[in-house]
Amino acid sequence: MEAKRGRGPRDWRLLWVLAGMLVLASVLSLGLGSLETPGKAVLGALLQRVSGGLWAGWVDERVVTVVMDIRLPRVLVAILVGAALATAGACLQGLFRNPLADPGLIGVSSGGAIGSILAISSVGLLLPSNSLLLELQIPLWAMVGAMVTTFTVYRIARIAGKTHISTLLLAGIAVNALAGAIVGAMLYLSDNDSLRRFTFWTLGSLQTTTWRTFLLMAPFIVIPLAILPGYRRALNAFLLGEAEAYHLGFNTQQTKRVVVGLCALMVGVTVAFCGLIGFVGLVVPHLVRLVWGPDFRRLIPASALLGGLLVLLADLLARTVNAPAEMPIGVVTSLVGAPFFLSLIHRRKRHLSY
Amino acid sequence: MLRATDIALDIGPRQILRGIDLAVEPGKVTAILGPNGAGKTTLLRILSGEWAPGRGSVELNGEAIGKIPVRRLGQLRAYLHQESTLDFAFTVLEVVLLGRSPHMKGSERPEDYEAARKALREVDLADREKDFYTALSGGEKQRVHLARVLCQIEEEGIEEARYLFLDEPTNNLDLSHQQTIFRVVRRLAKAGTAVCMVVHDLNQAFQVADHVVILDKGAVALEGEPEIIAQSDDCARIFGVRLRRIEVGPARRPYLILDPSEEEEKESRA
Repeated sequence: MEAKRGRGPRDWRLLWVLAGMLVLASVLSLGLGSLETPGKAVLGALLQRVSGGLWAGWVDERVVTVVMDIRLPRVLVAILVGAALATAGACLQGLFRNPLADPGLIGVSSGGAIGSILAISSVGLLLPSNSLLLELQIPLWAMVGAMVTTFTVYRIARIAGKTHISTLLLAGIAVNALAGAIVGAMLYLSDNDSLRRFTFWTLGSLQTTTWRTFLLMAPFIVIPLAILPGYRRALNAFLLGEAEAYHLGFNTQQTKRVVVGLCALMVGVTVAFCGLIGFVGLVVPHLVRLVWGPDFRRLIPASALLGGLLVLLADLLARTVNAPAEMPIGVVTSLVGAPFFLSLIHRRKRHLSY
Repeated sequence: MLRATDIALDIGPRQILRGIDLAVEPGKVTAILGPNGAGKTTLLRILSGEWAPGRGSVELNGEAIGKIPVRRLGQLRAYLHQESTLDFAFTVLEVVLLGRSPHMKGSERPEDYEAARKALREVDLADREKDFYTALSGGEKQRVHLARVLCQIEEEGIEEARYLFLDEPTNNLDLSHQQTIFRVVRRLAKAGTAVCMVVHDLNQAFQVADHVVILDKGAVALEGEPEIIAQSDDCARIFGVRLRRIEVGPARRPYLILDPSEEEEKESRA
């Protein structure tokens, strides 16, 4: 079988295509919503804000507010969330040498769920006097839950100073099961309102996004996204196996620590603010590999862009399909992603190679 | 020179290795043999630095192997595992290029492609470089990994001795490609590389090695030049079989084959 993909290591065309699509989708997203805004108005709003009011008066102030203060932060957060989930998925699939690995494997999602149910059912009350902390109650607790759980998984997998990937996987499965039980018990004890809020949390939403959430999330995603490509060669070697990566001259312990830690941070912060958005972390790296091969030098940037694009489009669908009501974004990603993925698998069944 | 002194390793209550002294010399092929579970692979892992011994020391070119930075170590020695699996659809050339990792800073340089292609030619896979690794047969995969470790230790401008560790490199290979491997190993040794390989077949060891080490129950049971080992009756005792020695060709090279009379006796008794 001849490899037909266009994939020299310096073939970056697909990245430009993805980046272009991302820009287009962003403009589309800024224009669509319960207040219809044509492209001209979007541009006007952007110009007015960027120029510091120099071009004021072109567009209605109301339009400027909707585009700049409601839609723009949401668009940016959607891109960040998608990039974070897809990149973490790609890196962890490499680390676990398993194309079916999901960011949830290291306990981030289930830990976030514990934190969120604690906050929702008001067991974990933060200082109510501070309004900022009160507003951020769920994200803060979810983030704490995600980090503590991941750390626990990582520590359990540490035997005699070394973390082995196979034990990490087992520890993740066990801790996830335990976390599921804790969430179950909390749900059993909580009232109907909490139950409903928690259910919606598990389906994910970008509804409450503001500039402040964007600014709070950005560093936790942008910094890992900047560091992880530095481990692209080590991750490539990890695909051969941990021992092989060591023999190829890579510090395997450091790679595992850094990659797991950064992925936990990225996914943790998306889980904290946007709940559980399924499918992106699993499917996006798959798609990229099908088209572009498994080399992490291309996989990481392409996954980040495609993940951002998909979550952006999913959020657009979620908030427009039944406007002004919003669908949970996790429903959209799975509803659209799963059949698409199935058709891909079906078409490639004969040589299912990742 | 790679020198192991008084190596011992316990895993739980089991003594895997005990009191092993061994020198792997540049320019020579050292073959490690022994019954299943004798500790061959464990010893290879310790010699290559992958595992730390419970006791004893390993020195590579005069330095404690644990003290050498991992990347530097990757430039000096390569290791072919008994079985390497890779479930991701890299092309053959991409897999081999991974072997160049310890020498690269950014992306592949022309000389990396050159080294990778040369290694592929050596294992008879030159025309398969664009194929997907996942679509290859077991023997072809094994040869791809061999090419990967070959190009890992072939970098110009490194003065120190290089080491190649092979754990049963003839696994899955047909006879002609087993010969290919031995040819490559001999060539490397001639060029000054130290080759240390685990093999199963005594006669293969006699054919390719300069120095033969036979492990039994975690200790060195027999060691020496192949001609001497071939004359020894201890081989049969260690492997627990009856062996017959035959001599082949004008050079009267010794071959050890299983004595057929043993099985015949067993059958007639049954």
